[in-house]
Amino acid sequence: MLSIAILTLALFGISDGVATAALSEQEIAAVTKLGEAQGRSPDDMKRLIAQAQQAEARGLPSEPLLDKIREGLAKGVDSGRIEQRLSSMTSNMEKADALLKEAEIPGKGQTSPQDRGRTLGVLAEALGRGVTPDEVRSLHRSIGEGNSDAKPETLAYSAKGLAVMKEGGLPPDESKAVMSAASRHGNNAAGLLDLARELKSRGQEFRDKPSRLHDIRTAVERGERLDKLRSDPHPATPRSERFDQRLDRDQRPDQKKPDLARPEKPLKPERLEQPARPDLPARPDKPERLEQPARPDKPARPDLPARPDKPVRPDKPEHPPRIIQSH
Amino acid sequence: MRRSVQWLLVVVLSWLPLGAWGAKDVDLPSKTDRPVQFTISAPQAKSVAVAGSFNNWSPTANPMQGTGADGRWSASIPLQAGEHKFMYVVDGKTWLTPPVADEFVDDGFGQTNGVIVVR
Repeated sequence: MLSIAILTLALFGISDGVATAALSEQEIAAVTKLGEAQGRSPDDMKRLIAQAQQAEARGLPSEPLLDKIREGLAKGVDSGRIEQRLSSMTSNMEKADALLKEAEIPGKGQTSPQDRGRTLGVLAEALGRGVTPDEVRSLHRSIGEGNSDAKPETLAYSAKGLAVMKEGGLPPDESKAVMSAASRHGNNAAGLLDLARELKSRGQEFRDKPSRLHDIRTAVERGERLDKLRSDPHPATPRSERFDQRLDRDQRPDQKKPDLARPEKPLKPERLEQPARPDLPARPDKPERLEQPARPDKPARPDLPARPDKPVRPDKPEHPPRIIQSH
Repeated sequence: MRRSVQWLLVVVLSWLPLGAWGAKDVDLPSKTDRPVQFTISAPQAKSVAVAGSFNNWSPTANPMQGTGADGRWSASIPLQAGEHKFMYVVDGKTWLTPPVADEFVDDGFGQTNGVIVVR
């Protein structure tokens, strides 16, 4: 019994505060070997792996960094350039971590360390793709209106959706409004990103007619199903049939409508006595109708020529008698 | 929980971006209850592979098979639900952005990855 208790405490101690699974020796060895096979110097490989380890020590997810190292090595990218990319990713993860801490309410909506790491990765990606911290804060404010169950994951995926739409050249303010409306209506991560990608693919339509995006926003705010908002398949970018599927709403949190008490209607001011209307001027008399001149007589119709007589039908020939043969 | 890899995605290069390797038609992706299928038309290539986040970006882990005289290459890869970045590797050294994907993202190294979303 005591050993079980100690083991349980030990497990809690290990799992508490860890954002994601730790970098294993096996993973480090595999990446090092990959680099050496490409002729990278051991010092280069140590520096790259050290960046991932340092991020992990600060509570940031290391897997996206390791994946980027593998990608860079495979594509033959210079080690210095890979390091720069890792620094940029780490910086975005730190900003994402700070933004999530601003958004989190202590003791409410807590997620597991693994989920938090994933959420942080998504938000960091959004920042890397052009969303600003102020835009994230603005999204958080508008998603949170009347929605006390808003999760950090919702914020992260809305931010990523915003990044996708901005990449498509859609106006940031309108895009933000669409994403926050879709989030408030309980759409899950897949729904938010599907919507964003769909709207991005129709970017030219919205650049030509900006009011169309506003219409979409209004429809989303009304709570219309996102799959109804899709257009016909764009010929240049074939869409998969997934848009025909009803979006999965099983993950929707229970919607609790905010208790909005209607404010009292203000009293109408008393109607002031209207001043008397001045008399309308008298209508002038209609001018007399002028007498129309007499119509000339129509000319007489010429006589039609007489119809020729129909030719006489010749008599039908008589049928020959039937011959019945017997065998 | 059962892994939900239920998509068949047919991805074919259009002739425009391939240049020397050539390509003919663009097929619309279709959905079936099988792992993700990648298809590309590259008649001039000697080998083609798919590399991405699902195979540690290895240009040798998922070689594609030539399917006929029309220069098509194909590979069927079971993928977990989620987003996966990928590119095609032609002749072991040339990395090509897929012409058709659910999304495209900058890789941070001056190239563009395709993204598939598997549900």
